[in-house]
Amino acid sequence: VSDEERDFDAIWRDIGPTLWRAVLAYSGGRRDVADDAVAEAFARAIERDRQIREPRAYLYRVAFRIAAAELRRDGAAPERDVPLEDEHPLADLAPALRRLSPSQRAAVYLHYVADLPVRELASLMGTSSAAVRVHLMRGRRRLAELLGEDQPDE
Amino acid sequence: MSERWRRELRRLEEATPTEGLLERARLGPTSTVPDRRTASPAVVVIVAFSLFAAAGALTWNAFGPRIGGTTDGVGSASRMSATLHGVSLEYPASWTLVDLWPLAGDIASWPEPGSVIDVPKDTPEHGGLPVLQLSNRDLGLGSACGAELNGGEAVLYVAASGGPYLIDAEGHPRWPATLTRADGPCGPGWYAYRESWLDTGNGSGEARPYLVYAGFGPDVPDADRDEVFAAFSTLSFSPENDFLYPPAESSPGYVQGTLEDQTSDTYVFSDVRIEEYPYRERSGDIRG
Repeated sequence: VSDEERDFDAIWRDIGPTLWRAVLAYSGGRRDVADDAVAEAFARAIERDRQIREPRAYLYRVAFRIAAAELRRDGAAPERDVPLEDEHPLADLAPALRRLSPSQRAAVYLHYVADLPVRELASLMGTSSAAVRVHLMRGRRRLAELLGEDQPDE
Repeated sequence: MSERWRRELRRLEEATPTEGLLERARLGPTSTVPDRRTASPAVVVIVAFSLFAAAGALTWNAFGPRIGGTTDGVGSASRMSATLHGVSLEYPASWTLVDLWPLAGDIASWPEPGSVIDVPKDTPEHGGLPVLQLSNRDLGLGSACGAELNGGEAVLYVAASGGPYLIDAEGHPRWPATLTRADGPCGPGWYAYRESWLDTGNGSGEARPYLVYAGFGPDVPDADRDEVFAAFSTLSFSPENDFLYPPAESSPGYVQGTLEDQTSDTYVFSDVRIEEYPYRERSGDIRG
C-alpha cells in the first residue's frame, strides 16, 4: 500500500451503493441498519486507511459485522416485521426476504443482482465458496417458495 | 430472468443509499462494535461480566445452561449445522461450538495484515492451528487441545496444520482419515488426519491438511461419545479463502449455527461477540 491517502470518494462511488444495498438485503430491508453499518465501516476504513490492504473486502466484512451486531442487539428475528411504505421498492420483497437468513439475503442479492461471482462473494462475506453456494441454493429456493413459484432448475 | 423472485430481487436496485453517508463517515467511527480482536482478555472478562450482571435474572436463566455446562446433547431433537473457516459440520443444538481461529494468531504469523498465513515450523507442538472446537459442555473460549478433560466432557477439535509434522519419517500420514485412538499433540484421544484440496486455478491446487482430535473425560456418557463421532462423520473442509488469513476482522466467540432445515450461517453471521455473551475462561490446563 502506498503512502498516499486513499481516495474514499472513488471507493464510495465504486462500491458504496452496492454495499449499502447488500446490507439492506442482509438486514431484511432495514434502512437504518444499512445506513449505520455502511457509514461506520467507511469511518473505520478512513481512520485506518493505509493499515488496510484490501479496503473493499474490509468494508464488506466490517459492514456485515456491524449490521449483524445491530440486528442481534435489536433482537431482530427473521419474522420481525418492519413496516415499509406502500410505495417502497421493497414493499413486496422485504417480507419474503425476512424469511431468509441474513447471509442468504446478502448472498442472493450480491450474486443475482450485483452479479458477483461466488468466489468473490465468499471473499467479501468472509466465508467459503461452499457456504455461499449453500446460501444461494437455499435462498433462491426459499424465495421461490415464498413468492409462489416453482423452484428454478439452477 | 423470468422467475418472479428474481424480478422482485432486482427491485433492490431501486433503493438508494441515504445521502451524506460518506460525509458522516468522515466524522469518524462511533459504533462500539469492534471489527477485530482489540480488547485484552482482562478487559473482555470485565466487559462480559458487567454485561452479564446487568442483564439480570432473565438473561441468567437464558444463558445459564450454556455456562453451567449442564446441557445434554443426548437425544436432542434439533441439530445445528455450521460452516466456520471452511469447516462444515453438524452437531446437537445444545452443544457448544467455538471459533478458535483467533487463537491461531497466537501461533502462526502473517507478514502483514491481509497476507497469507505463514505457518511456523514449531506448529506441531501446538496441535495445529486451532480452527474450531465442539463440546458437549461450555469449555470457554480456550482450546482443549493439550488440556485434561474432566468428568463427562467430550470435545471435537479441528485444526489447520502445517502438514509436515503429521507425516512420519517415511512420508506417510501419521494417522488415518478416520478417528483412531492414539496419543498425539493434543494428548491421549482419537485422531484423524485429512487433506482437502484447494483449487488455485489453471488446473493446479494445493493440499490443505487438517487435524481432527476427539477427546473425552473419564466419565463421558456413551451417547455424548457417539455424538462426537457423529459430528465427525458430517465434517468437511473447504479450505478456500478466509482460513488462510489472520483473524484481523474477527474475534473469538461462540458460534450460532442454525437449524438444519434452514441454513448454515457462517463467519459473519456467526461472529458472536464475546462481550455479548457471558462466558468463563477455564483456568489452568487450557492452553491457547
